[in-house]
Amino acid sequence: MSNRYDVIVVGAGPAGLMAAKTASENGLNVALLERKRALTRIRRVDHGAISLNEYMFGQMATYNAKAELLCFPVAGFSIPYSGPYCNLYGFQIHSPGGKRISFGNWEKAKREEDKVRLGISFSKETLLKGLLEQCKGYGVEVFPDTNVTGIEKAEEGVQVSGGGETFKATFVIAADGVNSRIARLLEFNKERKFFGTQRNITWTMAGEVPIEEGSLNFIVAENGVFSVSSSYKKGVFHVGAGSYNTKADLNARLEKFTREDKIYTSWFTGAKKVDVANCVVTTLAPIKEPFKDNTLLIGDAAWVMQFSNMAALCSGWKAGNVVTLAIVDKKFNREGISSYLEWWEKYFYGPYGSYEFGVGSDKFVDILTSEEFDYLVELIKDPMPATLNVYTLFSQIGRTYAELFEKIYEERPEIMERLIEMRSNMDELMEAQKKLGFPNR
Amino acid sequence: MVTIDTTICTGCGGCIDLCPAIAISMIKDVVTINSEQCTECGICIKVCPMQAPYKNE
Repeated sequence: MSNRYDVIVVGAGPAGLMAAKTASENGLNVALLERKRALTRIRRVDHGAISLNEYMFGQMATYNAKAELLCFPVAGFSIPYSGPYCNLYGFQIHSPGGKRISFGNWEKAKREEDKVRLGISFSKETLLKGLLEQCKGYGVEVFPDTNVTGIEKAEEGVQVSGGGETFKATFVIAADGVNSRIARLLEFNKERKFFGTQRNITWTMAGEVPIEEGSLNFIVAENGVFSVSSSYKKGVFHVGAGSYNTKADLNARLEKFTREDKIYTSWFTGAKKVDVANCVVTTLAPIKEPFKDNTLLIGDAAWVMQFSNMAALCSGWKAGNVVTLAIVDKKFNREGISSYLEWWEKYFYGPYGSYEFGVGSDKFVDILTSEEFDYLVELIKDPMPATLNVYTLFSQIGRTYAELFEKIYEERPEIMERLIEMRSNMDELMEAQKKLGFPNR
Repeated sequence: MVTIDTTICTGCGGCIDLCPAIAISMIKDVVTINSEQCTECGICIKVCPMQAPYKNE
């Protein structure tokens, strides 16, 4: 262990590994701290997925299968990925009675495959292993089993306490994820709007795969909202339950959905649960300026971004380079890294800072009956444009139904009335959701 | 005293993150509570999706 590093990276997820690899590749002395022992073994819910050939946050990813490289042509870097993967073609939404809306064209997908894919589902462990190897090759000192418990200003830099040791560096890059300890310790969370605590359990099941190849499915079922998604592994798929209601027993919901649901149980006959993953997500508004006392927060630590291995990787790349320049320029302060903050403002905080996370989907299930959901889903006959971007998905749904309001009011006025009532109770529902959560302040 | 059932714990770390007393750590990829620092606030019990922590009298 060194007396002092140029940069300490906290968290060995995609953002942290990219930051450590980039900084060390540039010649900096880097320490990488991670609380897990098996650094690249994923135990939390994230079925490694990435959008391809689509702009998100000003970035784009492409995959070169021949060279086995995941490329980022806007940013201008590429990383190795030689593991298994499968194409993703879009979303599908299912109603309690088995009706569905497609956001994607599966007929086309069967014929054109790579040409119409929106992204890939891949082995995140393989991706991270590749990055970790590169880090070690460039001399990053890796400290697993290291829980960070403290962080404070030190002479011309930062001091981090963790795993019974003290680490010193000129800069810290905090990539410690969505419930960031460092964001809490540096008191960022006091000013951030809190929306609730989401919990998720995802079962991996082995058996006949009940969904269209390369699809991400949301099912509004009798007893809750569930996700069913494809895996790159053959004969295996994922079933997930998530909720902002922290009192919900998610395993019990999954049990009921897979074994007792009138419509959907048939999806799971003969399928066996082979693994369980789960996660807790503190949903807070993005940090406007994720920098304090020479600590730069990146990736989920600065803002929970759905569907964004891409954002995490690009944040790590950007931070690693910006910190390098700050050190070479001998600007060991905010001025040195200000280009990161400008980038963050332009592509993340600027466009999404005031995004309001909604009241959890549990509520819709309470307010409408199964038959009413079926009716609403059946109103959309044709497949919608394919997307893997959740923001686009929600706004498309919103716009489509806005155009159908008159028709719904004519045919089913009681549905409209209840939706309007729920809309006017949003604030109350949101307060209740927040009360059930833990703001990590 | 609050204890973790390590046969249920998947090591997601949600409790570690949310513990106000910083009393929970990851050791060998599962979670452990430092009983000296634990204030028995019960947040870990409420938040764990797997119901792994429990009060041990």
